Amino acid sequence: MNREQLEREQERAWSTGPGWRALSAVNQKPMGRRYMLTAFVFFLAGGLLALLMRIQLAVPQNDFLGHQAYNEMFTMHGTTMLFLFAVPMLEGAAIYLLPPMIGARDMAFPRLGAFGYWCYLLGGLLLYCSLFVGMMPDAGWTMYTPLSNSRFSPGSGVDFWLIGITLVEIGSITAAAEIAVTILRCRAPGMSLDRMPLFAWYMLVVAFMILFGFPPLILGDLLLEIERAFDWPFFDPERGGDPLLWQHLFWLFGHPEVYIIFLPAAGMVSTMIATFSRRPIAGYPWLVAAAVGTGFVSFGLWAHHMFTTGIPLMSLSFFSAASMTVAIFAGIQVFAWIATLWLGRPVLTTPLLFVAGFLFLFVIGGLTGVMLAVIPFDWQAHSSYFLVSHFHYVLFGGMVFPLFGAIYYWFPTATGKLMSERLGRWNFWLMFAGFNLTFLPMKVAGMMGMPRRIYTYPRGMWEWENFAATTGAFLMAVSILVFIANFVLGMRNGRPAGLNPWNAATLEWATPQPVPTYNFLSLPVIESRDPLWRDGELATAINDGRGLLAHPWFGLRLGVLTTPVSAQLRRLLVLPQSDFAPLVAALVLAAACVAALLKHWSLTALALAAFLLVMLNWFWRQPHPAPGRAHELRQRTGLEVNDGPPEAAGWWGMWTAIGGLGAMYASLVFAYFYLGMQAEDFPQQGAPPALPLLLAAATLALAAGLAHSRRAMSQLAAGIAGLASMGFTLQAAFAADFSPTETALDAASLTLLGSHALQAFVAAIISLFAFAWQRFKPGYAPERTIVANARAFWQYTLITGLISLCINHFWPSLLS
Amino acid sequence: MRTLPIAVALMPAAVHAHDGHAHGWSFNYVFLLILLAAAWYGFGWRRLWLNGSRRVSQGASHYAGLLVMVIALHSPLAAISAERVSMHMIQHMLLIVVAAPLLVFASPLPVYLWALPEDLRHGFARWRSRSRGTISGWRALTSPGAAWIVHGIALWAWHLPALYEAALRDSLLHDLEHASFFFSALLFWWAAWSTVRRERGAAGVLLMFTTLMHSGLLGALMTFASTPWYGEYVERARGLGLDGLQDQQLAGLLMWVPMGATYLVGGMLIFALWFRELERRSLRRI
Repeated sequence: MNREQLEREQERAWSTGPGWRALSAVNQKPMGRRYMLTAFVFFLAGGLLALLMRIQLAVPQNDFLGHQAYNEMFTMHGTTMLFLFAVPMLEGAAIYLLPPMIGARDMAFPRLGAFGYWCYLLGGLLLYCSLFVGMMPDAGWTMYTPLSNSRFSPGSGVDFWLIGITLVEIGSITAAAEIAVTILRCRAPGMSLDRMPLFAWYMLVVAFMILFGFPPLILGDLLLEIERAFDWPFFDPERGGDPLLWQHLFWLFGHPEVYIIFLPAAGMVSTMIATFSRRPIAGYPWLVAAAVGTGFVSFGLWAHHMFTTGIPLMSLSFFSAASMTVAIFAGIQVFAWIATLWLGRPVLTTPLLFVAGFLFLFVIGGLTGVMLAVIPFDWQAHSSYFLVSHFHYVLFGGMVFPLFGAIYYWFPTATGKLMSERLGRWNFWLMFAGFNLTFLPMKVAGMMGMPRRIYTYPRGMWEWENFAATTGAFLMAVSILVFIANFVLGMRNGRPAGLNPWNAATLEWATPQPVPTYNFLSLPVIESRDPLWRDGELATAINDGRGLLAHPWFGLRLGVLTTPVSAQLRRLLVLPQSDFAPLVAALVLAAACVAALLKHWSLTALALAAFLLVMLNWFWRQPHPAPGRAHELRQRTGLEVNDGPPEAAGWWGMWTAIGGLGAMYASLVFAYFYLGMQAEDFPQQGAPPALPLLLAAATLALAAGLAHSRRAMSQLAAGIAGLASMGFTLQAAFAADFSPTETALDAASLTLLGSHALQAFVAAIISLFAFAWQRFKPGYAPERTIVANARAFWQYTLITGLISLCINHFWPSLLS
Repeated sequence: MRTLPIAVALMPAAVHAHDGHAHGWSFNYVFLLILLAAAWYGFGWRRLWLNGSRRVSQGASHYAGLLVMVIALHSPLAAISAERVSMHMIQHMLLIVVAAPLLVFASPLPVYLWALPEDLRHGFARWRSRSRGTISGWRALTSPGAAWIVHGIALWAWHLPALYEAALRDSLLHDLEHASFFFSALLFWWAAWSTVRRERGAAGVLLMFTTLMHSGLLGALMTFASTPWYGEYVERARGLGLDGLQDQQLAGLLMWVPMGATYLVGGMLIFALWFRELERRSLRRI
């Protein structure tokens, strides 16, 4: 077949039907675009809220908004920008950019990615629904207890927040798991880790940070929702709870979150700086190490958000000192970027202008961060407008500026056209001037003592600062309008971009612009860090179909799996076609959330059961071809179809999921001990009797052992033993003499037992699924992966289950 | 800063005597074992040196590790650690995150083997190559996952008040505590370190990161406890005019921050070496 025919065939294999079928799309092009578009709409909504707040604060004693409306606006502004804009926007950008950048046709788990998107969209909509029922959350984006508990926030606004955000977070975590496995396993052959584009390195670190950082917040959300709905007093100090536990869980997530937002932007900056300096990035290994180091450190510093909460005095000096290490890693990156600009021959285009703005603002934000790490200063400036200014310099300067630069930069990959440079400059300078006019005076206002979160202020105080800030905010709004105009005009009648308009080095510029849905007509083999600069023939080889897998055999969507470190070619990856299951699964899950919001528990249970059925159906329909077809594929492509550890992508996905679940479980154990440390008598009375616990542990061990075998009957037996373990655990929980509404510790004990029951149930379902697969679909490709995944999940369940079961009963004897 | 004097008071540079007990050096059978290891290593090292194989930095690292062990176990620090949780924490940290990585970095096993007479050495090599069981057993024990679990259990279990206080009362249990900290740490650092050689540096980095996390959580619990965990120490601290809770907070913070920092440094070092190796291999492949 010639090139045109191949292109047509690939197009057919990768297209999604018209009309309402577009909702069934799962591949990275539409999903990445939807993510980014949705995030941008939320960005506009959050910006609108900010403008309303700025109008209210423009003059003293203003009555434009009441205090209630103002509280709702700043809560929704922070929530929107952090949860609904920043993280999804960057994940969307990763989903959109990574595959073409690393030489893949799609993400590793397209259906999971689509599911994550729908969860995000529905969660965000659910949160904004509170607007229409007149119950917007108003307790701040940090949702500190006791303000957010049912006594002080009696309406359901906070419930909207907790449940909606949980749904959004589920989306974020699934996207993170998908991104991690894609980067590790789907790179083009030859693209070993040390040849990977820096954006992919940064996203790899970020994916792991999301995987370990978001679960503590999900746990916190769940515990707070349980407290509000069932009166289990996890955070109520009068009944043995502790409001600071919320802050620990929140900042255990919240501190990494800052870097989760910053690092992808830093990856974009590294890419753009190299392109526009017309030379390879300086200090590539240093940048990679700095990204990894930042990821490490960000998990050890959460206490520095709590300097003024009354945690032990001694801890302050330790965390003040530890906070300074962040400056080392940030410094390495800034100097590497400056060095690249210095050594290269920079071209000052709009994207580079935004990058320069980023460097300037981020350094200011970083330096004010160092100031805030100094405790005496923090005690003065905490909860003042100085802090508000600081984090806007870090987040707006550190993420939004690079993001706008990135949109200008990668616009041709989506449209094949360029945005106007002239409007781009207007956009940048308006935004830069507006930003500084807004946030620099805020520093002054903060120093003069203006506290944050106030809805108005007396005459004669902070007047010019606030007026200037409001003016600046409107300047920024104008710059956003200029951007939107530029975007629309660029799509309509922008200058054609041609091939590789910026003369960049990375693979997404190797193909015709816009990048086709299938990304590459044939997959490339990579031999250097800057493939398009080093290998002049690469682009033609890709586009003429001389590389790998130019032919979409049997109309299948085909990709490859390579080894995680050195990217050696290993397996054929058969990717799923368009599918409604992700949308249906997310809808059912959202229905469960709505039912929970209405406190309609039987309906919630029903929706969750439906969710389980949808998921089983989803997993039953694997994209792998039937055995005969797989054989033919092997003969035509010379590659085995993806199955079994250590090659199968699904097996990697399972371990990533276990990592995230493990982080959530560790947070729960931490919460249990934390409450125990504060309790009058720890361990408490009323532990469940030993017999059901022992039986639960024995059946658990039996199940884990049985799941080790690859025989179908063993999986069946493991499933039954797992259900028995769940039953005995529930029996133990009911037999225990705990009163979960009386003391927080009892509530935590029961939560631990409940978590094991739930986990044993899920593990049992996985085993039963493996049994059914072996029984009814013997020989179908992912058989070995499914069995291996059941085994892996049981190993994890065994370890956590033994801890959960022992913790109440055997802990007392070790404490006495 | 009000915290500084407290920290200084809890970390005495000068050694005081109290209640008539002198805080001097104390030696027991463990010291003999350390001496034996030093002599054995020296013997093998000399033989390798004569054969023309020089391992100066490794030798230095090995002896530094042994020296840190002596300081941890026999110097006045050991005596003070019987009175303050924070000092006891420093003693444990010296064993776990200073001595153990130094010894692992020295990769002393070949040197120890060279100290043996020739036929014994060959016999060992023959036995090792023949017995598959020992090899796979050793592999399983030093696999990253197993080492991580063993070390994690040792760290958490000994901080349970019942075990911790029992070890304070019984010197044999106390030695067992130190031995399990030290040897599980050796295993842990060994497993992490060998990931670089086995081209699995990422696993080593993950090992360091997760240990930083869980030891940090343990340290955080210790820091934020509203009552002291170890009754024994409260009385001893009161005798010194110290607040037992603050002493424990310092111990928790030492575990949370400086100990976490060593895992950070270890993780970054493993990452850097692994990455350098990757780059070298890439150059060879072109």
